[in-house]
Amino acid sequence: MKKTIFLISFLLLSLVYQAQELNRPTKKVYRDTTSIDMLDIRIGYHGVVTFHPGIKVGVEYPLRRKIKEIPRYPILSRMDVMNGKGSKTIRKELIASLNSGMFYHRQNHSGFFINFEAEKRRTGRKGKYRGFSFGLGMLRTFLGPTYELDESDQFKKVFLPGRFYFMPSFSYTHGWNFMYKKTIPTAIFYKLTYFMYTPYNNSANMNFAFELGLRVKMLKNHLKHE
Amino acid sequence: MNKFVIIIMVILMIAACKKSDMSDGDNFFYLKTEGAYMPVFVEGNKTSNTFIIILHGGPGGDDQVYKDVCLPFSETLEEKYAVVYYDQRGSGISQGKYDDEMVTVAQHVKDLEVLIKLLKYKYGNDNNFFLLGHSWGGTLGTAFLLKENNQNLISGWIEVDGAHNFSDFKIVNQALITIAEDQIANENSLDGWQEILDFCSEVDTNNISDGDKSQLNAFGFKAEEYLSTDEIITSDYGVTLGELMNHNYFSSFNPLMAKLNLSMTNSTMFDEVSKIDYTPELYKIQTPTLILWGRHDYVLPLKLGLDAYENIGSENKKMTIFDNSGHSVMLNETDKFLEEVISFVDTYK
Repeated sequence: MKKTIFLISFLLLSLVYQAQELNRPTKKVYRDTTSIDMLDIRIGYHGVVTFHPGIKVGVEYPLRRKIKEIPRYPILSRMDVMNGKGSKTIRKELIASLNSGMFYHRQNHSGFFINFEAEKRRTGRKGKYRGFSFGLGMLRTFLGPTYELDESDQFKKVFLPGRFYFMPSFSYTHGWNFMYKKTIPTAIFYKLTYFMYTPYNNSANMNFAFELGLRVKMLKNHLKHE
Repeated sequence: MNKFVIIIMVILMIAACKKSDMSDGDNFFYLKTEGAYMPVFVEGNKTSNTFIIILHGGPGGDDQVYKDVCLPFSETLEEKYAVVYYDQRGSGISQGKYDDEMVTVAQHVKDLEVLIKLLKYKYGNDNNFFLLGHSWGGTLGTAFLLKENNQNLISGWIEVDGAHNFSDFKIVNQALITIAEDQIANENSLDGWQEILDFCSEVDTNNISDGDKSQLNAFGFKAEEYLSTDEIITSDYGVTLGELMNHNYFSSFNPLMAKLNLSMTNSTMFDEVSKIDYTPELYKIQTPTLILWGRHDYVLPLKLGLDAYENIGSENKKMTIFDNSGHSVMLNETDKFLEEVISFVDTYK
């Protein structure tokens, strides 16, 4: 009887081990072009010093996407392998985006800007992602009523007071992408941005913005992609 | 996670819908002059025909802190008079574009002249103007009064822990040594005071380096912290968390830009300001003058206030020393400060 139980157990374990060996994932790294021909539109609240409201809209396009599939050990069962728990998939992307936005800081200044950003983004297995980006752009500030002395030493109101500034920026983004896991063509994110104003006074200055936004995959990119 | 996002969205929408005063043009405007856009807030009782122009500290500080923080100070003054808060060039939220050569004491004086002219243009020539200069604002006010006929533009000069003489850091060093020894003897904040005493004892007072000057200035503020902890410096009202939150996140102020402006302007003007000594010229000031000083000011020690009082030429001058105050009398003994200011302004308006 004992012999019979031992033999059956041995056979079963051998089968499980064989199945694991057959399905055991190996580390893979490859370029992915799935849906890379689509532009994402993003739109979000863009608050300077967090609470002074603004809006930012833009389009983004993945220039490069690399996928890493890394095996996870130990593999507990064949079911884990079948459920995709046998490896974790990490997406590393280089994203280019073109954005435009405005904000209103009462009794300080309002601003209208356009900028180009390049972002390095890493998306994890469950769609959670983080990214660091660097941007270059232009900002036009608009001030409240402004007075200056004219040539005849009389005060006059300045028309459209404010200035143009060159605006480099650095951002950190944290988001949740539902496109991979739940196949909803949407992602939500928050983004912390430091943007510089230069030339400003006798040198440069910086401002801070908190962005809370939505990213939707919807536009066909007409650029040919390999 | 979704709940978290919804809560943030609601907070942001409420903040964005905050009630705003649409009559900005009357009490808020910018002055554009020589490359700088300087914000000007005119708050309070304009029908009083009396305007108090606040000259903030720094160089490179900001005026909105006087408006938003310690409301008993600003609200009491605004109830009786019009109070003018403006960020000087390179300070607070002021912006523009100009060269380093435009960030000088002389240029700040010129800006103040244009501001008074603009206030007269907007609110009428028959108003009385008082200057209230705090810290670096004391230097700017003194420089303004010493220039040509500027004293004719002003009804009175209020100097609060100001500086007509930035060049003599021996005074700061000696004052710090004296208070440090005193506090160590009383066993108050021992580690902190010992650090100050050790540093000050090593300073070469015949040739104080720029680095030592900066450190002495920092220790002046540190000393104030220790004295506040040990309740030697007190505050009538203190600063509430609500005031700080409003100032930093919901008002027109921008903490990051103001901080960077402060460090840029401070470093640009350091060389010029650290050599200033107006003592030999103070006799020229004939404008009614009120000098208010904290006994425990170790940023600009009391001796400087006594020098100013002794040397100012005006026959109508008064000095009041506040025993429980440091470098910002208006935030420490607010009630007594307001009594003095109101009595002075009512006398000379």
